[in-house]
Amino acid sequence: MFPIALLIASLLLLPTFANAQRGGQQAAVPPPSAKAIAPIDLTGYWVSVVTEDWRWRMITPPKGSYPSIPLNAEGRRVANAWDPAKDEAEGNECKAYGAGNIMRMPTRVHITWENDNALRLETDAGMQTRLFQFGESKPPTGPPTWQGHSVASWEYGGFGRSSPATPNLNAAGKPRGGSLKVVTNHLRPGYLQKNGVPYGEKAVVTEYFTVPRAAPNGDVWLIVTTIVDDPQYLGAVPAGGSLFGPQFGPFVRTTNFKKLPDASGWNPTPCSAR
Amino acid sequence: MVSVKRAALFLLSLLLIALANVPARAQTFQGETPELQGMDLAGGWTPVRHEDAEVDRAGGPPPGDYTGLPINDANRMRADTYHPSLITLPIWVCRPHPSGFENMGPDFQFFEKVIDPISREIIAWRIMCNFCTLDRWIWMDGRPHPPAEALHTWEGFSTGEWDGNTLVVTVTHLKESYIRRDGLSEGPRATVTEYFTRHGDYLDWTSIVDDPDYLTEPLIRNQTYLRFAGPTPPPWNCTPQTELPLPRGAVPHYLPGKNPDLTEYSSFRKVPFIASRGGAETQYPEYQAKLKDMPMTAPAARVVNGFYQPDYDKAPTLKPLPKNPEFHVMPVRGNIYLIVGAGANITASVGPDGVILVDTGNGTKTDEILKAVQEVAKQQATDRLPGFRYVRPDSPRPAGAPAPAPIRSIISTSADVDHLGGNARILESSVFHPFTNGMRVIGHLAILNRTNNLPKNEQPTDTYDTPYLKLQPYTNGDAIQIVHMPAAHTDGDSVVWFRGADVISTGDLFVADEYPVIDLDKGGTIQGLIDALNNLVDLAFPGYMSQEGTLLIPGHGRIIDSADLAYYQNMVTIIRDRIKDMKSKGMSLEQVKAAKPTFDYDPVYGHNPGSPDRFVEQVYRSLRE
Repeated sequence: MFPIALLIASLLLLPTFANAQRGGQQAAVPPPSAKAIAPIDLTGYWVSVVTEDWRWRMITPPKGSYPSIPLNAEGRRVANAWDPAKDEAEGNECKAYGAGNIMRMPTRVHITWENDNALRLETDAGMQTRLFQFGESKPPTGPPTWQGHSVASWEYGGFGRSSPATPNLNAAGKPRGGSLKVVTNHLRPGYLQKNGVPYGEKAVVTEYFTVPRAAPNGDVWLIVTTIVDDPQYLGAVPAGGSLFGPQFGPFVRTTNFKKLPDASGWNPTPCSAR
Repeated sequence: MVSVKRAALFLLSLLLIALANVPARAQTFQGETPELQGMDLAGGWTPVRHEDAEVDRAGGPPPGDYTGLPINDANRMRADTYHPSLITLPIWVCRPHPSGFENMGPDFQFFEKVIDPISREIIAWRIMCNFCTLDRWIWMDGRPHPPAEALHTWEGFSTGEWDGNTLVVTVTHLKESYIRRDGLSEGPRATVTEYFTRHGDYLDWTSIVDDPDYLTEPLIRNQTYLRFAGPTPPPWNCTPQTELPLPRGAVPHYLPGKNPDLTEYSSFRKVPFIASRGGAETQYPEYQAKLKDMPMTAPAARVVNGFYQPDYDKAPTLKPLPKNPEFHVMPVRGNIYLIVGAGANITASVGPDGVILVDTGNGTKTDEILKAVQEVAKQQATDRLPGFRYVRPDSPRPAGAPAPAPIRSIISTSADVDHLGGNARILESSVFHPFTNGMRVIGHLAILNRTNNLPKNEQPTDTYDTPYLKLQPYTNGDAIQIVHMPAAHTDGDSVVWFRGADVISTGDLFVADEYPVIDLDKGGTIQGLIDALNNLVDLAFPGYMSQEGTLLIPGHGRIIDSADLAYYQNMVTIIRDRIKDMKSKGMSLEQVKAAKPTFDYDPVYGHNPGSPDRFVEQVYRSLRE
C-alpha cells in the first residue's frame, strides 16, 4: 500500500519539482529583452489623421478656447493670459510640443528601436524625440525637459483563439496583440493646446500605444490614448458640464495614426508658438 | 485499519499540495483570470468628453462644419441641402445613433457578458446605451453575418474576436444614417470596424466607418470611457410625435444653392471657408501649410445673393449592383417568407390554409419556387407556430394530405413581367388548388388592361377596382388586405398588407437601393408615387427607436422597415421638389439632367447605369403632364 502511495505522491509532486527546476533555470538566464517580447510592432512611419478636435489641432485656436479641457480656475487664468510673443521671446516655442500634447500635433511619427530595451519616437512637427525605456531606469537628473522621462512596459492580452492558459502567439512565437504603456514625468511645463492651455511641472502623462489587427482595407492604425494628470491646472468639470458621468480629474484624449510605407512626406519643421 | 487511514490522509495531503501548484487561472472562471481582467468589458462606462465637446459630443455641430471628414462631393451636397427641421418628422424624432457613431454621443454605456450556460463561454457582449438602440449585441460565437436581404438596423449586425487585448468587431447591415449631425450621411452599404481596448479603468472605443458611397477613405474616430460603478441610467423613453406641423408628406430641405447657413461656421469660428468644406485632405498634417494661405471667406464668384453656390464635380465611381441574387428563402415574420433570386421578390404566406404567393417572379425559377414553398410547409408541419387556432373551412387539403401544401392564390402587384412571369406555370402545377370558389390570380383591374399582350394564363383571373380588397376570411391566421395605389409606379399597383404578421409587400413602389421606376406608359406618375409612399408611411408602424415594427418587402432588394421607407419617401420628395423648381424656371429636360438634381443620392440609388437620368426624365415628364 505504502509504495503505491509513494508512487502516486511522486507523480503528484512532479509539477512542483518541475516548476522549481524551471525557476532555477530562469534565474540563470537573463530576462528577454523588451524587443523580443513585443506583442505589437510599433516601428515605422506613421501619420496623424485629424478627424476630431480639428479646430483645436489643425489651426491655432483663439485665446480662451478650451471647451473640452477640465481646467481648474488657475488653469483657466493661465490659459487666458496666453502670449505667444512672450513664448517666442523666452525661447519657449516648443511648449505645445511637449509630451503632454505632442501626439495631438498634426505630425508624422517615426518609431525605431533605440536598443533592445528602448523605443525611440521622433516627430517631424517640432522635430521632437522621445525615448521610452523599458525596465528599471535611473531617475532623471538635470532640469525637466519637454519630453520628460518615460518608462515603458508591455500590456498583453490572452484572449483570441487561444485558451486563457495559452498565450496568444504569432508565427514568430511572440504574444499577439497588446499595448505599450508609457508613463512620463519630469516634464518642463507645457501646453495641452497651442493656445496656451497649460500643464505644470508635476504633470504625469500616461499613454497607451495600441496597434490592433489591420482594418479590412489593409490600413494599420496606431491608436494612442494620452492621459494627462496635473494637480496644478487640471481637475475641474469642463465648461460644457457633465451630462451623465463624472468628468473630473485627468485629461484624456485618443489620437490615431495611420501606418505609412516609407518616409515620404517626412517634413521636419521647427516648433512654432503661433 | 489505522495504517489504511494514515495512508489515506497522506494521499489526501499530497493531493492538496499538488492542487495548490496548479496555476490559479485554471481554478477561476473564464474571463476572470488575472491576465484576462484587461479584457473584461462588463459593467458601466461613462464617456470622457475631452474631445470635440462643441461638435459631436454635446450640443451638436453647426451647419457647414465638415472639417476633418473624408467626405465626397455627394455627401457634401447631402449636407448642404439638409434642413435641421427634417428631424422633426415623427419617424426621425427617436432615430438613435448608429454603430460607428454611437460612441460619439455623450452617453453612458453598459456592457453585459452573455455566457452560454453549457459551455460557459462568452457568446456575446451586449451593450446598452441611451442614444443608440438600447440593446446591441456583439456575437462572439463565430456565427455568420445574415444574407444581403436581411433588414438593416441602426446597430447593424456585429461579430467580434479578440486580438490580444483588443476586441475587434465587424459591423454590417447598417441602415443609412449620419456621420455628423449636420446632414453628413452614411450609406446603407457602409461597414464599421471597431476596436475595444481596455487599459485599467479606461476603455478605448475606436470606430472606423468604411462607406464606399459617401466617403473617399475610411473615417476613424475614438471615444475613451471611464469605468463607472454607479447605478444604471434611468429608462430612456422616446415617443415619436409631430414636433413641427407640416403638410402631409412635406420634407424639410434646402434646394441646392439656397442654404443660407453654409458660411456661418467659417465666419464665426475663423476657419477658412474652403477648409470648412472638409474632405480627406483636411485630415492630414500637410493641410496646415495650405491653411495659412487660404482666404477666410467663400470665393466671391460663388456667392449669389448671400447664398454659396457649390460646384459638385467629383462624382463617386458607382458600380452596378448585383442583379441576380442566388435563389433562397428567408423567413420574414410569422408565416411570411421572402423568396429571392427569381426576378422580382416573391412574398409567400405559408400556413395551415396553404400558400398565398405575392408575385411569381420572372418565370425562370418556377420549379425552385414550388419546391421551396413545399419545404417551408414541411418544416412548419413539424414545427407549427403557435397561434393558428383556426383553419379556413374552404381549405380542405387534397386527398392524401398533409403533403404537398396547396398553393391557393397568386396576387400580382403590377403588370411587370418580372413579377407575374411565373403565373402560368404555377397555375398549371399539380399543387395549385384554389379555395372553393376562391380567387386564383388577383390583381387590380388595370393590370388586365396592361397584360392584353400576354398569354391568358399569365393575366389576373380575378380583379378589383376598389380602393382595397380583403382576402376573406382570415388566411393562415392572417388578415390579408390588398390595397390599390393609383397612378404610382403604374396605374395598377397593389400592395399586400399581412395585417397579423404586420408585413407589407410593396411591389415596385419601393425598390431597395434603386431609384423607383415611374412607368409613364403604364399610367405611372410622380405624384401618385409620392402619394403611395405617403400611404405606406401611414400604414407602417415604426418599432421602438424607429426600427423594425412593420416590415416591408420591396419589389426588389432587402427587407425594409419604416425608417428605410421614410428615407426613400424623403429622397423621392426632395428630388421631385428640385426638378419642379427647375422646371418652374423654364429649364429644359436636358438642362435639368445637366444640373444633376440626384447627384447626392446617386451613391445610394443610382448604381445602375443610366438610372439617375432615367428617373429625372420620368419625374420631369410626369410633372409636365
